[in-house]
Amino acid sequence: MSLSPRALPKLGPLETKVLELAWARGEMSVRDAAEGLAPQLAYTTVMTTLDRLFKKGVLQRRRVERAFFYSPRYSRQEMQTRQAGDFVKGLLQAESSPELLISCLVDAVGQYDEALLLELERKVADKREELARNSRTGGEA
Amino acid sequence: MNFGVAFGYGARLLCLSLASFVLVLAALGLVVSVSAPVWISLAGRMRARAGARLLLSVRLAPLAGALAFVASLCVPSYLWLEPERGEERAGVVSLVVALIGLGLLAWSLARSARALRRSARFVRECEETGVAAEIPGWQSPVLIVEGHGPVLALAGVLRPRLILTRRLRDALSHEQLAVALRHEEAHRRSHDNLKRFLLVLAPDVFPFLGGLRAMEAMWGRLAEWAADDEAAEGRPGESVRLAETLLRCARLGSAGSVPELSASLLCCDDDLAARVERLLGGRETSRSGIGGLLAGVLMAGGVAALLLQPVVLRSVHLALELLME
Repeated sequence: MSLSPRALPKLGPLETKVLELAWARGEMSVRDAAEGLAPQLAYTTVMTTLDRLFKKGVLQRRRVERAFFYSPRYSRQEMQTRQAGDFVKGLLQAESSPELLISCLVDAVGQYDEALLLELERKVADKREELARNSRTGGEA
Repeated sequence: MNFGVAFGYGARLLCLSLASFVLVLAALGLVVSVSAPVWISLAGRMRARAGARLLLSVRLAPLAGALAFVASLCVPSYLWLEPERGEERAGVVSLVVALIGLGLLAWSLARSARALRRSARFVRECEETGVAAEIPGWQSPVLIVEGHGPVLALAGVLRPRLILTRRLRDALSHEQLAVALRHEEAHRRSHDNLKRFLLVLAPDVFPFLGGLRAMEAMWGRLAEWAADDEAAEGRPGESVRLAETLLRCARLGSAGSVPELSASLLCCDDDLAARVERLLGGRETSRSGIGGLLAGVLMAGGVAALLLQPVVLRSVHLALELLME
């Protein structure tokens, strides 16, 4: 299941509860969800929540006759991975660098020109060869 | 002294202190901002660590100078020479300047507090979503977090934590990870995050001139170069290994980044190319910082000797009287 490149939306408490139920049950109808939640909520409330989760891209649905069946679009692990990744990267991207008091090895949110990377990699390879030659020459001497 | 007299005495002192603070800050800030290209050029020709220290000192000099002026001249001269029951009131100009000083201080403190909060939140979120793991070469547990970017970051000011994405950890060899950790260790030993905090704390009275911001950017570059030098430990093989590591990270970053949210392409390319070329070229030092250090010590000694003269305090008091009017 491939991950959407969009950032994951924020979920409210009820939405989170319904999503947890979806992970536990797999595919479910609105009635299944309403019966599975404690305390029980109105059918229309559950239906609205499932519809919101579908529009947020967190649930997928298929129609069976006149009813919709909802299932999670991402597994729990995928959601957590994406949330953590989004958070780390999102925070690095959202904050202006002087005001985020961190030292990064490289700019984690930047893009690099492919041609430049290839050129630099070639130079590194050449330098490695040079060092290896010098080491051999020094050894022979 | 009754309460009213004491209050007036204290209020005038506060007004004078704020007004003289902002005037000295503005004067020194203007000088530093205008002369920034000279300092940047000088720092670029020095050893990276020494150059970074020079730029940091000069960048913080306006704030340090303003605080020193208030603490060592303004307040002592006022307390020594100002009569307790003085009838004078603060003029409008001094009040306005004092308010500007108050605003500057408040903005600076708010910005610093925000930076601390954001960084603390970043570390906290990483602690909640990540897993602490012992990694050879790092003294305290490293936070391994899920994520798509090549994040290896030292986060936090007083007790910084090392954050590493799982993807990057898996992508680097043991030797590459070791040299990367030495790079971050150099940042930790040098307290670079604390220095970043001081840079955020120091106000820039003339941001439109851009001089102080340029110095901060160059300081950031030199701090990275210094950490690269210390990670390589003077060994050509390690320099090449670090260059490889940087390029590996850059490749992972390019693969995972979202184009519409990325920072300036040119900025990243320039920085990366400069670092790699520098590591491959073996260019490390030009001059040491001894000359600059000596000049600084002599200057500080001269200033201290000047401040101890009573005539200086009387002159300062006279100037402050004029400011009050």
